[in-house]
Amino acid sequence: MEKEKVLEVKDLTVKIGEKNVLSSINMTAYKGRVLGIIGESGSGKTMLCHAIMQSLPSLAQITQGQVLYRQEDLMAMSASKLRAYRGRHLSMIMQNPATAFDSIQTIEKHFLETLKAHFVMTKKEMRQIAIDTMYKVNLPNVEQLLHYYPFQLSGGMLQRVMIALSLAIQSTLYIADEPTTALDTVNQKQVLTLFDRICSETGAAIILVTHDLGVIAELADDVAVMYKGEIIEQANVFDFFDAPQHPYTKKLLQSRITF
Amino acid sequence: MTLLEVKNIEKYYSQRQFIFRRKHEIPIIQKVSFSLREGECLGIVGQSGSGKSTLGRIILGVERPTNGEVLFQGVNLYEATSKDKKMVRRDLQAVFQNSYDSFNPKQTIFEILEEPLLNFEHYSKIERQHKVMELLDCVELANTIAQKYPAQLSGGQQQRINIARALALNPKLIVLDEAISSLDMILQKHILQLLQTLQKERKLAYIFISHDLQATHFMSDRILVMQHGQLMEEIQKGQTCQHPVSQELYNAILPSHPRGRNKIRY
Amino acid sequence: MSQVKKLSHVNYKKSFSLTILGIIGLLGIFAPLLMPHDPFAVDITRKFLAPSWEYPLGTDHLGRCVFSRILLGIRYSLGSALLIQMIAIILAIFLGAFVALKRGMIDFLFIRICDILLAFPTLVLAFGLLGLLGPSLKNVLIALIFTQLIYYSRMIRSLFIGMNEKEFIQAARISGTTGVGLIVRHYFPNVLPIIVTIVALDVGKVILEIAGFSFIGLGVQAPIPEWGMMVNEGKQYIRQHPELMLYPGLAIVLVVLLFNRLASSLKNFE
Repeated sequence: MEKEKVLEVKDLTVKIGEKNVLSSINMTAYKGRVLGIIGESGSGKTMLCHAIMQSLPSLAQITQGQVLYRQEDLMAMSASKLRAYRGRHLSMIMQNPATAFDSIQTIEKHFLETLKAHFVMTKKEMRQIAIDTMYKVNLPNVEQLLHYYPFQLSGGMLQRVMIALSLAIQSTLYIADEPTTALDTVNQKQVLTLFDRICSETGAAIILVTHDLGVIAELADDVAVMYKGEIIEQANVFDFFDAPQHPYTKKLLQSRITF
Repeated sequence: MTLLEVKNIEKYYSQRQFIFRRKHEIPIIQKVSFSLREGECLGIVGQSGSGKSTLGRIILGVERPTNGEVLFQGVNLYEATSKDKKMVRRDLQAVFQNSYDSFNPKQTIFEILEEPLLNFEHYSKIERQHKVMELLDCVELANTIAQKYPAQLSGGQQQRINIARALALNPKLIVLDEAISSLDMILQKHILQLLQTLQKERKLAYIFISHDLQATHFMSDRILVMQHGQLMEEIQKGQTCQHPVSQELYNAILPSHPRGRNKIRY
Repeated sequence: MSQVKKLSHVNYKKSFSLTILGIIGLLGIFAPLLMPHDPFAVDITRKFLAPSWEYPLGTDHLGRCVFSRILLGIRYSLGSALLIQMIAIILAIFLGAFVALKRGMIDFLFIRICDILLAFPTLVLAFGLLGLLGPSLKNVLIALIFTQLIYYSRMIRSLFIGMNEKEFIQAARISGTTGVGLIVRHYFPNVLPIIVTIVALDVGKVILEIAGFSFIGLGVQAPIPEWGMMVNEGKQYIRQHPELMLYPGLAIVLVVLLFNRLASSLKNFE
């Protein structure tokens, strides 16, 4: 089966001052597949996410390379087009869902705002979409939940609301930066299962950044290992677990705790 | 010998809804009892909100339970004389999840590690320095770290300093509340092994509180499963879990290899 | 210790205001040596002289050297403001810490009393006190220390209570630290930057209040060359000799501005 490229990162280098935060990153995310990026804290995983979203902190500068979304260079885009793309096609799922929401607005309001920015539709239609997508991500009592404020929901529920928001605007690329780190194991499993379903049902590409090998083993199709700002190994998930190449990867695999 | 005995602990948070309405009592922990032998590692697992952290704080003596008693070496933590309390403090230590938050940002590592010694031992300055270096050795950190501030250390180093502080007074029991959850994988394994070595060397007892059944299982001799503030099941090492709540936690364990997935796409 | 080091480890803005304030302070301390004339010596024959080498800022309506009076005035304006702040904050730290650690009934009563007193504007409260005690420099100090104390002790109490929930305070308790140890090692170093900033910011306010009292005649009494008093004395001659109000007025503006600048640069650190 021919794999369709959704996002391609070519030779991307990001510097803060003189220091390379990311050096010549090359990677590709394919339609309907999960690209897992694993690395320890400080390895530049989060920086990579921000570089893809073109939302780097002002100190960091992209010195070379390209970020191509379906053959279009995100770096060459005008600010307004980029903004439209960012919400519409690329969505970012962050580690801490509590800070990603505006705590004085209800969940419903978040849906309305997001949908209004990208589609022309009536309030009633928007509400229906909100209910549908929230239902899809297995949230209970959806109608009631719409009137809740973010702080009234648990971390796991909020993360699912966040995914529902991306689902509502039919994103084609999800960039999930440690989406389950702040959750307990039961919620983590639910969120990962949800990602898996989104991937196979909507054919979206998912870039999943994590420090947990278990998450990779559960969900990823391809794996890239980041270490000190570089991708030191890239492989299919089975090859990665069966025949690790780099010494760091081997050490990582040895750190697994078996039940 | 029994080290810790928890008898019928109950904890309610009362919430006054306006001035006129009656007080509302929210149960956090209901009728929890268990005991711990010397040198044993007891795991407590549960989802977030199951009351396991509150239980940990009650055991530590920093949060008074509504009912019930905690006996540490026969001393009731919440009715002890200040002399007894001081003795308990020596033998009962803790390591929390958020390593950075548990340090005073204005203290150097040396000052942090020195603090328990100042409170309990009548050491001279040189003896204290000696002891601090010993503690740093114990958690495999370089001596030079002593002059740094917590913010200058990595998460793994910080957590090791937390463990060193807990070890400073040669305690009998350390409560580890999500102590490794915020660390990277390699470090997690490393810290777990470090804790196990220390346990053997010093005959320590642990209470290992976590939402991660896998890590808890790795550490513990016995596991208590909690939900909604109640104990649901006690699992001995090597036994399989029966209760649906434990089953759920068991099912949430992620595979160690992609072949262990429930279903495989492509 | 480290805190003090950090404070003196300065950025540009801070070092600028600190240096000038330091110079002004030194001028105040060594005023008796630097004054060209006795600031109290009255010589009617030499009144309203224009600035000259002998009288750098001229003389006032009683023929006293304005320059000498402004120099000596540093002691009364800046000096008493600093004194007020120091005494008020030290008392407030003890009071606030005591209440914050005791909690319970004492805390409740303390808060109610503070609330009642704070319901009055500071100036009105100080007016009331001064009315009771009678106008004099000593009573101005007492009145202002009292009003600042209410405000600061309440602030320190809330800062301390806000810290109670911090994890490192609990960690320290578990390490066996109690009472005074907790305050000295943990609470205090962490609230110190906030305290220093607010105290510095309020020095300007207090200088203005002292000057204000003198100006309306409730504070420092006549021959003392407090700046507010000098402005008050100059106001009769505002048409003929506005500079008599201008010089002390500018001195007040300069010192208040420098303190505000210092405080805002302190706020930026951390």
